Amino acid sequence: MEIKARIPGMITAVPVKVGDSVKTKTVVAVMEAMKMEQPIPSPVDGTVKEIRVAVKDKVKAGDVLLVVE
Amino acid sequence: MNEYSMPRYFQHMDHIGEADLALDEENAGVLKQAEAAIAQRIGQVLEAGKPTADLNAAGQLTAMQRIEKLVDEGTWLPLNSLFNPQHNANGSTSIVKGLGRIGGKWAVIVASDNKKLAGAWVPGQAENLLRASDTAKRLRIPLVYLLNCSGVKYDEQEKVYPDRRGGGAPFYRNAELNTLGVPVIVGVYGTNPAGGAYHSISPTIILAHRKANMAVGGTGIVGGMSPNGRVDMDSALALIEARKNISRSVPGTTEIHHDVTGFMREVYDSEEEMLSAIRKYVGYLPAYDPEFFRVDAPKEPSYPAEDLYSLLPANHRRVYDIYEILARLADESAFMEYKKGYGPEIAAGLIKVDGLLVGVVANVQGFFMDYPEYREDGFGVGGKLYRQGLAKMNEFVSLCARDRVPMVWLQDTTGIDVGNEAEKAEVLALGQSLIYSIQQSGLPMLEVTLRKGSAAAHYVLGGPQGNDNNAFSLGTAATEVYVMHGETAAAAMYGARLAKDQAAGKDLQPTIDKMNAMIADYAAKSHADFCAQAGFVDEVVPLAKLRAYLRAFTGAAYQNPASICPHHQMLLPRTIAEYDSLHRGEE
Repeated sequence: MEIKARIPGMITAVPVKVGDSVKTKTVVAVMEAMKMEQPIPSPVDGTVKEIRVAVKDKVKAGDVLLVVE
Repeated sequence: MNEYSMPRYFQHMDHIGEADLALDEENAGVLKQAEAAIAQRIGQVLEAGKPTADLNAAGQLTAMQRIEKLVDEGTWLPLNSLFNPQHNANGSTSIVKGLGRIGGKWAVIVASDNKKLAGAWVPGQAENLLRASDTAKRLRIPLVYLLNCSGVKYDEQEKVYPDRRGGGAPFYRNAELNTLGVPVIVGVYGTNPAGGAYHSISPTIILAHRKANMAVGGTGIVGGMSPNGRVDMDSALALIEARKNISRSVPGTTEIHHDVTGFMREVYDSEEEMLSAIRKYVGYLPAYDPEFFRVDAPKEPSYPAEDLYSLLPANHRRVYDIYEILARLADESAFMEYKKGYGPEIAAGLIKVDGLLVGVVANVQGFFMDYPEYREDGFGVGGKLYRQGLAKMNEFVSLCARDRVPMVWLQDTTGIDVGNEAEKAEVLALGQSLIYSIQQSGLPMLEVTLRKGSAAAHYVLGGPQGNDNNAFSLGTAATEVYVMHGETAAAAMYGARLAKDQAAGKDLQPTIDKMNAMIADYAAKSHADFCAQAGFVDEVVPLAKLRAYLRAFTGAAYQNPASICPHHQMLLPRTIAEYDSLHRGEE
């Protein structure tokens, strides 16, 4: 499952690595937008398969941040 | 066991909140440390002055000891503990004030702080007394004074005696409370000359300790004044001679004002007996049994208050779920939300507190896609107010007013949407409309600034500026109140100068330094402790005690309301159900 940015902003943390198992609501990335930090939770239980962003990357709405299987 | 009206609405509210919460120990630590610092400061302010042991040895109880003996155990909830708007050195306005139950009835209680200059009038005290009067008036609950007031602090009379909201204003307020049918009961201790005597004489019922006195002027005043405009050796010696005579006849003792004038209704030899007499008189006052107004049996929230320390981020840049906060404040974590989905930046609806209906309005944090509807490709930011949220709150307040439901506001707001699209969407007028809706409601309201209270949004969201409705306001260890963030203000004030200096080839650093100084100044003058001292909030409350204050507010609001709406004639629950049946299928 692709986890996408809902809004444009900057990635401030990616607290998981490829291969990590995550649960629903585990924060897989944190982005900053409109002066606010927005934690991005995993919508499913699974394993992190891909990470497509790094800290300080600027992302647009709809960009895929991570893939969780 | 009683039954309740309309269970299909009030006993079938939606459940909010979840149990499997990730604890955030770091955040909890930050909040608890800040709360501990505030508690320590309150302790210092209370202890400042004459030691308790010395007062006790002289046969007097302290203000806090009197309060503890007066109120039902465990019901004392202090207000304005750190209020000190005129910066008195001991951190106090020399009164101890709060809400407490006396024989089951809520009252506003004010005790002269006899540790400090025998309870003298000091700068800022009148404003604190007016707030006590406000709270009693908004909630229609009795005001009880434990009076021990030595009169004006002589060397600061210009900050104490005169002015529109100065020393004498509380006497007019006591008169106003009497005209409104809100009783004021005073127990008089010690020496209460001049202003102290008006505090004694202005209430409805005067009870006195045997050694108390109250008089138009104290012994020092009766002793006479020097007509020369200055003191010389002759007049100093005359003063000494005069004092020898007056010390034998203190004016206004209980022999005069109980035995002769009869102003003092009852006189007691011990402090404890007088406190019992106050309890007796509060017992004579009207109060509904809360069961009369209940819509359900009182129940605790489904989740522990301790969770709030993980849920409310001390870091203001972090978002959180207000529904999880509400779930830890409301009976059985039940919420009947008004127009859920419309104006998503605001959660408004009915909760139960001790089985009594309360209207709640709270800012929702986070982001809202394709919102507000008047901006193309917009996304809304939590804590801001947009057209729909403002419209929704106007409707909700109006319905609460019609249904006579007291209201609680949970603020965490950065302001109202700006720009021409927002202006065209009428947010300016809708904000003021909300002020109009609140003002005309005639409802008692409690406002809690959970984190930010900023811009005009702080006013329109039931803030303390609504003098005729706001009974009192609270903050948390995470509270900040300011017109705008310091960085925003610094940019507004110095932005043009920076551009000009750069064009002129000048060094930018001095201006940058000024901007940073301003940002630091904003931070220092908006924090919870500053808010408490300045009176921007009436108490900074530990998160674990928030519900206790909500219960006090609710119990007080339903104790003796001026008007009632029968549950079966309410519009709000039906309007909510109607909206849900039309819209919930779409989710």
